[in-house]
Amino acid sequence: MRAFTILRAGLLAAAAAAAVLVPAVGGAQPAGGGSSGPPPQPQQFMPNPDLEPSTDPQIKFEKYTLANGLEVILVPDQSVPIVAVNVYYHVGSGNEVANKTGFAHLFEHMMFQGSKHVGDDMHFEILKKIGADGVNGTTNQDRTNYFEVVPSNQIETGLWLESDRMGFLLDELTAKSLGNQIDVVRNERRQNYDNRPYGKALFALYQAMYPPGHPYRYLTIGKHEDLESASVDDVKNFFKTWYVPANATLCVVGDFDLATGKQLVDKWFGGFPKSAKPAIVNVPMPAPHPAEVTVTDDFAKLTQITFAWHTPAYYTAEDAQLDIVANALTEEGPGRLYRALVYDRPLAQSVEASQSSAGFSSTFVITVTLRGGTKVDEVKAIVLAEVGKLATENLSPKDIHRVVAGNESGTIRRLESVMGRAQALQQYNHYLGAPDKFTWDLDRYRKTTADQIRATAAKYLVPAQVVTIITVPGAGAPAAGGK
Amino acid sequence: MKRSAVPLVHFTSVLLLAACGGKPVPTAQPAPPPEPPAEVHVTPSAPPSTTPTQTAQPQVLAFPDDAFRSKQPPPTAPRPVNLPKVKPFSLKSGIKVYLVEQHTLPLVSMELVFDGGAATDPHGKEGLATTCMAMLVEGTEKLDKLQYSEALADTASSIGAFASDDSVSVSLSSLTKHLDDTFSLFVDTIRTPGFRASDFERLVKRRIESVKQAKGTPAAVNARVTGAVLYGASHPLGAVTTEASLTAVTLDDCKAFATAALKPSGARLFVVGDLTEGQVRGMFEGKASTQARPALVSWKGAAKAKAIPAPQTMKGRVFFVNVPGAAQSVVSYLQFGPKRTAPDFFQNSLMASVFGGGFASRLNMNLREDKGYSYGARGGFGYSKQFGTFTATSSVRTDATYQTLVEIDREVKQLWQGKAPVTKDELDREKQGSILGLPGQFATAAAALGNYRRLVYFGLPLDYFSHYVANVQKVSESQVKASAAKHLKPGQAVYLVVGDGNAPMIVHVPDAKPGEPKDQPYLKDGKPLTLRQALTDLATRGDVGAGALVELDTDGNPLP
Repeated sequence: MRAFTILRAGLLAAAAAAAVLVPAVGGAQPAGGGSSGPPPQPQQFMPNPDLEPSTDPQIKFEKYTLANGLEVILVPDQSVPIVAVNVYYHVGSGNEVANKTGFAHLFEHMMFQGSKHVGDDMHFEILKKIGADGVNGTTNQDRTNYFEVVPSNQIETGLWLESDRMGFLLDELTAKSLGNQIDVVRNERRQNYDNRPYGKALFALYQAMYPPGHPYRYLTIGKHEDLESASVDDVKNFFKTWYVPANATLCVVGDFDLATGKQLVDKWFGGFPKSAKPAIVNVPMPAPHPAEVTVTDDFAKLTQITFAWHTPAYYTAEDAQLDIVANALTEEGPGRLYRALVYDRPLAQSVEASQSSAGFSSTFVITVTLRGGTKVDEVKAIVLAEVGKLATENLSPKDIHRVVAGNESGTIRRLESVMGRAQALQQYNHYLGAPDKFTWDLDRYRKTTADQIRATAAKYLVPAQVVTIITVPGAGAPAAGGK
Repeated sequence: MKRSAVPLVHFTSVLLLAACGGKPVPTAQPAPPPEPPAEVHVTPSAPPSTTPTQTAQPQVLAFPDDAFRSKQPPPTAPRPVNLPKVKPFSLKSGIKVYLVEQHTLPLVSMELVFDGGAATDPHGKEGLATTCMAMLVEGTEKLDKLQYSEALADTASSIGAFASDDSVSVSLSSLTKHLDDTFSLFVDTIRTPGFRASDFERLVKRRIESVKQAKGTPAAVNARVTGAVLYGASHPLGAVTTEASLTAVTLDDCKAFATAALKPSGARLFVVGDLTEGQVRGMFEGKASTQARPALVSWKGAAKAKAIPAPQTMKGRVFFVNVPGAAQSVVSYLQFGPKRTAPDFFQNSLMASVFGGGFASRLNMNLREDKGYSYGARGGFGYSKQFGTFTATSSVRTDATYQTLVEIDREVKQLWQGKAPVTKDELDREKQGSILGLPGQFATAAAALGNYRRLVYFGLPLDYFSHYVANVQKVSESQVKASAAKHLKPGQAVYLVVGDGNAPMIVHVPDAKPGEPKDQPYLKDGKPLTLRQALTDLATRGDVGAGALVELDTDGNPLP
């Protein structure tokens, strides 16, 4: 998930800035046409005695539940004097209701605005002062998480901050700070969606895929009008419904001993009242509803076509099979569509495919950015023909092996840092109810067969059921850079 | 790729900043300009919904207010820290190696860095270095592009080739068990690249299309023209890559470039992973390795250095690129600053952190948390080997573009003039954060190598971090004040604004009457001002220094 990518970039950028006290060295550099120090290293390596290189990763952890319902996962590891604190709330934009789009994410912002004992807008200030790093939160359809890495002798400050916003957020909530964060989130949407090429296509895709009332119909960022109309009462009700202790999991990884860790968790969270885990009503996968939508986009200079289908939810067997299909279609080199559209003939700038996994159901998305002059119909025919072949021709053993090898090495890399481990354990715990699913997850890929993959593709990637979004550059729009 | 999550702080675009006094938050805004129609009406519409909706209800819970919650808990004694060490040594070919060993995970990553880079691109062939380096990973003499990519993908290995302004590099990442094969490909990538005409043609055309796309959005346009404004369009660090300059690059240029630039003597090899010095030597000099890879034996010589001339900032004070329909503007403050190796580096950095270095910095608290104009703002010193800069940048709501420029100008001047000097609290926060956060910056072997790598780049000693805490600790309030007075140069700075020239502007009225919004339409002679008019007016008034408003095209050329 992109959450991990952002975290990683954040840690690297912060490392560059703090270690040599240089803003932006090694990261994006505002001045000088990109002149800066060397680019950041692509990988991090974490010495972790609990990882057995020769086998699948095994992480020693202890999971238990407090009387109030809060789940706790503790992983002591004394190799570096830091601690990752990571709290999952098992609610995301997929649990939003009509006319409250973007609310889970807006709420995430409010969790940084202050709580009774921490004070107004002090979260980052306090963490900065103790040398914390990687401070952020993320929201997707299914869950919201909050995290920071603190020096291990400051573990209690991390627990203090997290417990205060779990227990005492509403005491500090004001219309003023809500109004400010509505502005900030709307700026976030402008920066990351409205002011970017192909941002409109994303909104169009999910509207075409999901019927009115479906929580995936709008992106997690939400609609401007819904954000604008969010009220203090909305925030309070959301908190009281979803941010109860029984709907959260606290994971702490790093330099502490287990007994002390348990005692501290008990001190800061143990006295919270008993709560009930809110029920999540499952939303079934919508029936296929083929559609073709053309979007005019003044920021786009190249035509782009997106093809999408409904597919099974995260961590199903089919979900893994469709990951393999995505790779077989677009991996640079062996990918069938890479060859057909980029390599053999110069029709496209790029072609990407992904099984975009989510808790209720997923989507399988292929995106082709066309070269100038390429005909839309030609690309559509090529893509749908290749997709159609998946139903009749098996992938090669190499196609499957490539994804297995990538996942095995990717799993090792992801677990290098304390925060990487916390995220991985939380992710499995959220979706599968248990943190240690590494082997199980890798087996989803290792134990599948070409016949099964073909059957899954035949069932879900039906050319006649495709939803197509075509982004066309705005022809009449004045070009940038003119008077 | 899985579905994305939306983070609170987008770290890739926001490095963070210090609280500045009171925070009157506007509770009401003037009518905002119409949003671009981002919600797309879909036809045919999806079928009517029978979607179930969530039924969870609020729970009424009483959280006991324990007395111990009222104060931040005190820290326990810090654990002693041993920062991972780097091992420097030289190979016979003249490559200088910097190795950080880790023997817990079966991974190796290395990057070989050569002098050169985009700054050496001939005038009219901007983009040559980046294009030619990218050609290295389009296959080798032995393997075509498809075979090469497949060989890497089969073992989950990767090889990359990059050009920055003043260096070029080739990187490798591999599981230890595949290192021998991946290293062979790495050597072939450098020594016997394929350089096939069909690959070159495809790659150049893709880059030309990418330039076209980059001209479409404010953020990308800002990145394109910033160097041209600050260094001057004919300076190696300011020259803009265009469709025409890419078209002028030939495959023969790339062959000549690779031959001249990729020389071992003086190159730096940064290695991290499950390897020892002996193993690294064995890979480059060992008999088994060199017999299998004769190209290593014949690899000799040093790349020629090329001097970079002094910059010449474009004439003008406020630079503007019009992007009709932009939903946000990108506003930048640009000036030169001290070099990375300046003796007052630590005080300069702490001053800049207070200004724009973190979420809690003055700039971010002002533009994001107080005014609500932005998703984030950052600023501070930036360094290349030869130059230092001081910049501030934010992407802001279009109607707040003018006011953002005013706010940045004010924040810089308050520090520079000493009207709002860095306070003891602010300085303590940044000093403590830097010192206490140091172990976290060395938490992984790769992070440690990255820190050492920046030292090597700037020519700083490898024992730099032994003195780091003392150097931060001794910075005083008066030193930080002196840094601001000496290195902030609002009189010489220039502004770059990329946004919609016809959008109406607001101004911030801090002492607005109760019930009136603090952001009000920017009027002159009773008429609302557009962004272009407001900037013209600002330049004419000389509030941010003498000099005209200069409009640029998306390649950084002044418009007539």
